Amino acid sequence: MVFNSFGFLIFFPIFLLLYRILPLKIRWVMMLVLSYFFYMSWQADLLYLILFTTLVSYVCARLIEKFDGRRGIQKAFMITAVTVSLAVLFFFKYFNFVSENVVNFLNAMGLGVPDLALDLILPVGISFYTFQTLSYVIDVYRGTMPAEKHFGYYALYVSFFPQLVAGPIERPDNLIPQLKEKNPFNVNDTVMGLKFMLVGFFKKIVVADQISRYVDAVYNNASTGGDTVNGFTVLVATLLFAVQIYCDFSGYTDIAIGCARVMGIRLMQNFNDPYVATTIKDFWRRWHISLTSWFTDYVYIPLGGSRCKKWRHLTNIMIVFLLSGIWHGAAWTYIIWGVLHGIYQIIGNLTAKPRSRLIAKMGFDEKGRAVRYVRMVITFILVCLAWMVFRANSLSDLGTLMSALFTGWGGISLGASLDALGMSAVNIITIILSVIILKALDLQINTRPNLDNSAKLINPARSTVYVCLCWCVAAAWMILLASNIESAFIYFQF
Amino acid sequence: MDELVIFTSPLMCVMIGVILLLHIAAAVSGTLIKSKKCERITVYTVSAVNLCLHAVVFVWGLVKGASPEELLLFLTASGAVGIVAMGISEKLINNKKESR
Repeated sequence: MVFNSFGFLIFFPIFLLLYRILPLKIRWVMMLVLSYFFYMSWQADLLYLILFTTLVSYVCARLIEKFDGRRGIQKAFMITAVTVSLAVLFFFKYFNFVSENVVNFLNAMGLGVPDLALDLILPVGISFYTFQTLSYVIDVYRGTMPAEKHFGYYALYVSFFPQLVAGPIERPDNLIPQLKEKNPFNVNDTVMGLKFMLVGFFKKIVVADQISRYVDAVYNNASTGGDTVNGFTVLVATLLFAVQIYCDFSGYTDIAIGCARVMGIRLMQNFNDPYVATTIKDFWRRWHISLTSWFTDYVYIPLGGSRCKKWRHLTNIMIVFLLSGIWHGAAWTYIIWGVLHGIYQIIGNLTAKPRSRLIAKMGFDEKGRAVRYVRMVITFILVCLAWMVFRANSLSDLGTLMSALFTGWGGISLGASLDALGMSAVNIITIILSVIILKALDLQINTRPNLDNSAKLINPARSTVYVCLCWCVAAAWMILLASNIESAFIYFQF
Repeated sequence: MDELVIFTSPLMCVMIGVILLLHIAAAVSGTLIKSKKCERITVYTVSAVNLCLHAVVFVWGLVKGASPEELLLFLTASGAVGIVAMGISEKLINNKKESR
């Protein structure tokens, strides 16, 4: 059951109704059962995995707290929980990738090793809920929060349906207390929640899904080439993919945040207008914030962060981005994407001072608008080049696409290229208008000084916008139904 | 490219013009409203009229064979105009508050 399905349109109101009418003491039971039901609509036979991970982390955290003062034993339980959770993640997500590459390597050396691949299904949301359980156990071990005694509430924290499948990766000290609160009906929260959901659906259905066919026309045909793969089409498809992945992922997050907000629960912000970032470091403070902060708190800082020698600091950066790439998927493209961002960060770090001196020498104010806009453009270009790696179906496809982008501009017919993409003038104008609406909505959400008051600020003009958004979602949904475009969220595969 | 149905119909162009005027009226009304009750009535009225007008164009377009892409173009164009109107409206409201 995805958010943009008829099933969810029935599921969510029922969930909400029960949430409001059930007494607090038994409300968690309903929430947990329905969250598991939501998960089982994806993969009923893999529910045992999330239960297993939940149980192991719960028990280990309780034991860590029980042996307070005996640091050695506490550490053993913490390592047990981390190892078991990561082992499950590794087995289901990375085993086939690692075994395939090891076998290929050994066979290339003439050892004749048989294929070890297993018939495994990637459990939906495993990367997300595994990281949530890890942060819980580590926080209990560090003493920053007490172990949750109530298994039901802990299980609900792991499996809470809005953020179960694709984040945000919530912290236990933020979510668990809110799950226990009564959270009475609040007009402000309900209006804001519904607005978030509407904006999320707009991003996903109107923008991301409409764009996906043009991106797929190029990236899925990289190996066959033809009119769909030339400098112009690769450039357009890459720019559109940058918009698509942002709208797809942040759209999901907005819907998740909106669902929770309607219940009076505040999930963490996961995006903050990432394409206005002025550096790659700034980009990662705005993109998938929950993952970046997770890696910062549980990998980067424990490794020493920036409070160590320079070479160690840069190594820590590379480790974090390598792990981030691996987290995204079992494929060389994701690993290279992560490493590329690591390289960007390292070069950015090493050249920060020389660049500042150069800007000063050229007579520009480093904090001025001109420098800021140039930095935004350069950062966007670097991010888009990395997105090419991320989206490419294979390394050979990546090579074809890169080659086309940099050298495939000779003898291009614009009309033929647009026809190859399946784009008409109507589509182009619609995309441009959608992006304008998107940008304006993002500005509304991110720059309003007090977002909570926005529901109280009744503005007739604002209501007309939201009516238009509803109609846009309806029309776009019709297009999807008519053209059978696959409407899965991109980050579900992670 | 499919032939445009909505944007080539004189009747629908009039409807679109009315929708544009509605966006402008919504933008300006925010500064003219004095009471909270009046504010709510205006919002509900504007929303209802907006909903109906878009519904008329939407349904008419579907009946006359407009492609979903053309419908989406009309709706996103209306949304974009609405966004601009919303920005202007909030600017006017903020200016009014500051001048008080």
